[in-house]
Amino acid sequence: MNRHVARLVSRNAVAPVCLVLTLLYFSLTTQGVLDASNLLNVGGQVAPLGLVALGQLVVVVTGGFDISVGSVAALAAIGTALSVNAFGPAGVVVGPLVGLACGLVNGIVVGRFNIQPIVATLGMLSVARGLALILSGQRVVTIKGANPLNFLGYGLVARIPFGLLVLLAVAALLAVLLRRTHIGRRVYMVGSNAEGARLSGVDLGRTVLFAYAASGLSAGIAALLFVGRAGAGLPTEGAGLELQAIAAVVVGGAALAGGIGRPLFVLLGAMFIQLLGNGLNMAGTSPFDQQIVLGTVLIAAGLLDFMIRHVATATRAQRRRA
Amino acid sequence: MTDLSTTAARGLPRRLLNLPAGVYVLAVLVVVLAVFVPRFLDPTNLSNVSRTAAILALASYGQAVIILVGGIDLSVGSVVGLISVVVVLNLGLGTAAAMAIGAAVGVGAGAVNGLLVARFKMPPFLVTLGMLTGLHGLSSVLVGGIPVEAPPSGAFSWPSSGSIGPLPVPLVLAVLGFAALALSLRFTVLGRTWFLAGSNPRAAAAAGIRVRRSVFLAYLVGAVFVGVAGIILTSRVHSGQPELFPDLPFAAIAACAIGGLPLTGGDASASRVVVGVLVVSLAENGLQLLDLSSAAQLVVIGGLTVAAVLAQQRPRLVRTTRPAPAVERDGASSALEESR
Repeated sequence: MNRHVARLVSRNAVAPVCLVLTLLYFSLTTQGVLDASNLLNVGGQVAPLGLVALGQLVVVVTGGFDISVGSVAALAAIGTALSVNAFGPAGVVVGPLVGLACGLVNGIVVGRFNIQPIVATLGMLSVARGLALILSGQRVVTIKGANPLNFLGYGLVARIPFGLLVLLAVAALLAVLLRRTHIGRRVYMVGSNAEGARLSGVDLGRTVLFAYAASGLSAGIAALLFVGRAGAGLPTEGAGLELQAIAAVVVGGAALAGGIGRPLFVLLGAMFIQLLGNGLNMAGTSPFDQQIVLGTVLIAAGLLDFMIRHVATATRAQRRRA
Repeated sequence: MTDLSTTAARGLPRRLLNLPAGVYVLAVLVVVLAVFVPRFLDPTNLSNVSRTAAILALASYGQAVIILVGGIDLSVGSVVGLISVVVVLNLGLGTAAAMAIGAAVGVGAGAVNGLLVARFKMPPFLVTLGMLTGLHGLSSVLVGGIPVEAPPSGAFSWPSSGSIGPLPVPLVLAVLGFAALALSLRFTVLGRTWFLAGSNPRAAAAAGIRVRRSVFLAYLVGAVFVGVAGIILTSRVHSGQPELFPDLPFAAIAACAIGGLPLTGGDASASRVVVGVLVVSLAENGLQLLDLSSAAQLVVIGGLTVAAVLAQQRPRLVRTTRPAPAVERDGASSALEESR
């Protein structure tokens, strides 16, 4: 009996169940949320959050977290807008490069110097935000002329938002990378047992560096989507993005202790967070009530995680007795 | 290793070398500020700094207790916002009563944090992140998103701008808090259990310590410090606002890290927290006196935090064999086992 329960409440079930319940709830209460046009709209909006959540997942699997992603995305967005204005369309490469650079700094500070992830990424959070404000002169940096990123923000391929396709491609790529490549397996090894990984020859510093670089890069790509949508770089972009990304990762079934987590379920987690925000918006809920809901969802996801662990332990004990 | 360090502790030069790195950072900072910033040593300025530093100190004491048991509290910024809103909304009951209710609400938030972390074994990072968001929403709903002014009164502004003799009230409260923290860490049974629960929860449990209770009480005591800080802040801005001090948890964590507290838990001391608080507050004050933009201040404070923590890590890099962090390893592998 218990074994069936355990299978039913496996951590991978959380995100799909949450997503279905939300869809069901809004279909009963709010008009228009389930319209195809609105769902496609949500699909377009979810891309930046989804990308950042995927990057966050890699870091979380190593047992760390990256709270700098929102600020890094803002800095990368400002960098992109400034360089597009200066060098033309080729300037868009600056966004991912800035994100990657910030991620590498985080990775070196955490991986090589063994600084706690929260201190390292906290430092990056304020440095990147400060730089974004200084570079932009605390103003919106509007792109002059045609926005080369317009298609990324608003383009449709067979009625599907291009941003969503990019997100899906990145998620598939990351899933293969984490499952099939050496570096991907090392990420899980480091997260589930760092000492064991070290003893079997894994370079901890390099693996951690890879994880934070991936997170920084994903924030840089998300910045391109922000610029694509806004047609400008906003120094205040991405405030609270790290919070939503971590929520998506946890709802997606990753363990904050490290070692566990799958990209496709994190993707569902991100869609759930985005749909929740969109639905509450359409129902006319104030942003403050949405914060209460998001906070409750985070803690509820944690409680669910506790119950899953509880059931799993009980099942194991029962199996051992049998 | 032990022999080396005992001989190293002999003699004044050696003893100086053994001071926590934060002390050097502080010393350099004070000299730089005294030389390069004209009005820094002004008595008015120092009194102002003491009022600001006192608030950060109280919040950091609370953070230190929670960090000591291996936790972290990101929610304090929203908690002080909620406290200020509750105080101002309850002013009809009298200033003292309103402030007591506000502080009690803060302690209640700490109890929820503690319950979720200790009883349900949830990651503190996740719990307090949820509370950060949820409580900010709650206090915004309570005031409809706009700050509520408090009618001016002497009693209301006393906690922030009053004086006892020549001493500013916040400073007196911070010193009392320091004594309470130092004494409870060193001389109370509860304080000692925090060290054990933070450095090795399994061993602590095996030794008969009620770890859950100890961790829960750490969050509760931490919330008491935050409650006092929240009252001073409320009194200073003379209003109830959800956006009272969103960066407070980060400043407090930075202060603890700069002071040399390991964020993995198991070690803390009141004096090291104060060193970290002084570094953060003096650096902020210096940058303000130099008229640097708030954006530039962000960059400098962020860089300073990481640099100060890096300065402490350096000696450990020299060691040829890295000692395995036993607690962390145990925690990680047991979490994995449980979740399989």
